[in-house]
Amino acid sequence: MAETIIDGKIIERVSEIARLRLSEIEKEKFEEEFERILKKFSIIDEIKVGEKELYYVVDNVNVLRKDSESKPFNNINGIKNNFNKIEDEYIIVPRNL
Amino acid sequence: MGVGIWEIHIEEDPGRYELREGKVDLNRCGIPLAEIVTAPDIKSPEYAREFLRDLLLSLDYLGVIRGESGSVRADVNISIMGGNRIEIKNVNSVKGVYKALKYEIVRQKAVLQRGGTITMETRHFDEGSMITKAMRKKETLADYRYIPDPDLVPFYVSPEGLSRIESILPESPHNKKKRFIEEYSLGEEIVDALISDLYLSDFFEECAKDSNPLEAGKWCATELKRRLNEKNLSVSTSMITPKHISDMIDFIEKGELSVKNAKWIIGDVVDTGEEIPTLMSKKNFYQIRSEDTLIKILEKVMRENPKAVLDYKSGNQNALHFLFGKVVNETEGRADPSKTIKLLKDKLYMEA
Amino acid sequence: MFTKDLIENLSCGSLEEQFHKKIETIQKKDNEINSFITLCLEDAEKSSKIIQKKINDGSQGRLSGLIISIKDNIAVSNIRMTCGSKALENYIAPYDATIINSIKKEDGIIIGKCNMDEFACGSDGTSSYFGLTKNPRNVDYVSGGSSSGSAASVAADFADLSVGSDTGGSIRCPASFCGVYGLKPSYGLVSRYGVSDMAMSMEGPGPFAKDTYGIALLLDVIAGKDPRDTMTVDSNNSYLSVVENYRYENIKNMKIAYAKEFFEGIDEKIKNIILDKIGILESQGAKIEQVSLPNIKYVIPIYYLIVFSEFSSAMSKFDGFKYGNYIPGQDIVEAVSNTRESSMGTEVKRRILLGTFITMEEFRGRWYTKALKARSAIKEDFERIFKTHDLLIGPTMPML
Repeated sequence: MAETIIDGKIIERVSEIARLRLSEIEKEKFEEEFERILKKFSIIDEIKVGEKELYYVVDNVNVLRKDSESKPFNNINGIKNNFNKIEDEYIIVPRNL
Repeated sequence: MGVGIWEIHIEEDPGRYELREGKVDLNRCGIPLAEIVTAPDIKSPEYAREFLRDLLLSLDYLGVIRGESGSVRADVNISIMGGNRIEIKNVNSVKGVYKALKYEIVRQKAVLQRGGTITMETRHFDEGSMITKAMRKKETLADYRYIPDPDLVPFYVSPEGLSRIESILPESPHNKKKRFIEEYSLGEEIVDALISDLYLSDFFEECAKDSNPLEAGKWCATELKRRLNEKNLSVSTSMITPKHISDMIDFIEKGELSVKNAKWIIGDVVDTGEEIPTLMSKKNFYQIRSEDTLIKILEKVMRENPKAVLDYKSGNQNALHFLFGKVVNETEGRADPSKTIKLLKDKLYMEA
Repeated sequence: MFTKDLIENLSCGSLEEQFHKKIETIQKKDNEINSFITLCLEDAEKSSKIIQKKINDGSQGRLSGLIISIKDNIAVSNIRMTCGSKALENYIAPYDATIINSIKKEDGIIIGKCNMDEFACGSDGTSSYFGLTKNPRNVDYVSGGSSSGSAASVAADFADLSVGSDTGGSIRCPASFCGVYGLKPSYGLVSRYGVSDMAMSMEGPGPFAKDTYGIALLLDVIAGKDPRDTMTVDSNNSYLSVVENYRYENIKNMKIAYAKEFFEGIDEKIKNIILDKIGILESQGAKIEQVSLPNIKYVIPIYYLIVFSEFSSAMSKFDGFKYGNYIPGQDIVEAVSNTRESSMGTEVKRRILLGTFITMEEFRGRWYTKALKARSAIKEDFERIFKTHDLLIGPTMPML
């Protein structure tokens, strides 16, 4: 199978999609590493695979719960205390300008 | 015709984040959400509007829609010949969808006509100015990753499960429409008005048990609906009951209540829930049918309007209506109309 | 002291005394070992008093006052939970993980939250934002990871039992390094509700102890179906009764397999120890057979491909809005990128980036989907062996 080419442009795109800023040094380092890591990983090409993608290793299906009255969470303050700002009982996080 | 449905995603509302204030509203957190993806079968803004109305009505009938604003949103995709697909995110009304599409068609045509190109992008609909605006590129940066959530176990619907669900589904709006037309011989316009509101259509059926369905249908679809809309009420939140309508129709049929006063009664009852007989007495709505009483009133009216009497005698039919109107005013609408006309004609003839 | 004796001692002696002895040990030695990120001594002391009363009237739960340390990616209500990361430096968990509930119900005393590789990314216990964990057996060595503090706290006798979590060796490896017992329960046996996600389709919490009795006891308490983790399965076995009823004769006629691939590229000393143990089992009457796991060499790439993918998805919530210290930017994307940049370590970043890369539309078929398909082949390999054998035996770590 054709090798995936890792270059600076791809690293840049990945870092944008991953929402993770990288310094120039990091970019260079990861570029070199990724190429090495993916090359190692490409031995999976040797394995004969079927079409089945195995997402779940246990066979649980149709797991539902009974419809019931909702139980209010008993430690709302515990949630609020993790945020710096509360206004009229609402959590305030940074604005999206 | 018809719009194909490609996929339905079932999700949970994570909560709401108001960008401008940074306020996080978790009150809706965990509420089930469904995202319905349609096939590209919609050919015009009008069709989109009609489809959405039908869809919302069906969902409303299923009882799966929450009444509050913002509980239904649409991501609208549109492309015209020679351009690429544009997505307009988060439009939150049917009117908004229609306006956004109208605007986009004009905008995209204009761009193409002047030699520009339409590239794939995501836009935002501004409710205030009713136009769409391009979102900043970074905000729309595609995150095309796709990983099935390993914590969501698969769900299979068995044929038995499916038929069980089908058996408990409420009647759909279009089946109800067909049935109303067949069962009650109502006109299409009346039926459309009734089925557009699930509660109203149920209310109508209750009324039709005790009254002439044609009358019940007419009153529910017109005056009642108008009053409810005016007051921003629905039959479930107003005080009116099917018995009110049946009683009212009964009084009209007996000739004891005028149509004009019946309209007033509806306006009152949606707020007060007052019994019809009580209202009839309290407001003195019983029609005046005694000939003696009516003749006295006629004589008074004729005395006070000699010119109209003369006009009638010289052949002006309108003068009759003028005089009738005066009688209606004099009796605050309580004069039995057919009797009044007959007596009026007799009287004028005798005078001549 | 063995866990069973410990429980017996507690039931006739003083819990308080035992508790203070532990605290003394911690205060004397944990500065160097660094197995705890957060201690909860006040809460622990309070519950020790309550449990003492229960012991006095014989109504104590199964853990009856044993001191338990918890890996810091498992939520304990109103206690800080950092996952070994700066991103969660100040995060106070607002609820108990299901397994913490079970431990509290059975009267275990939670003494503190254990150091770990940042977001469980690592196998040597050195990538924690709160510093590395040293090996109590020899402080010149690492403790192994990612459940580094769990293993070290049991080895150093700071705790009687510990709960860690394991995706690809994060319990087994530090247990092996520190010379204590550690078990990765089969996926789905123990609830993950309240455990910070790392690789959702593979990981799970599990016990550390000084003996199999402790392992079985703690596993009995934490195993079983949890409506809050749809992947869990029922557990009707008592692991403790299996351990207690074990007799040497049980080994007789057991069919035990070892894979020849396990011994490729392994340190000679470890190899000899394992072969020695196999010899003991054989002398006790077990039937030993060499088998082959032809696909085992693909396990590591498949494992990493899936872990990275799930990890990058699990980590997207650490954006400075929901958790962590927000660093502003010109727009929201830049702010999130800055926040994540400043609050995560190199290994975490590496895994997020690789996970993002291999699940991108144009690369996922080549990597992620391929790994999912290959995963079936690995599962089949093991299923085949367990059809004909009772046990599969092998070394935990290939080198010293």
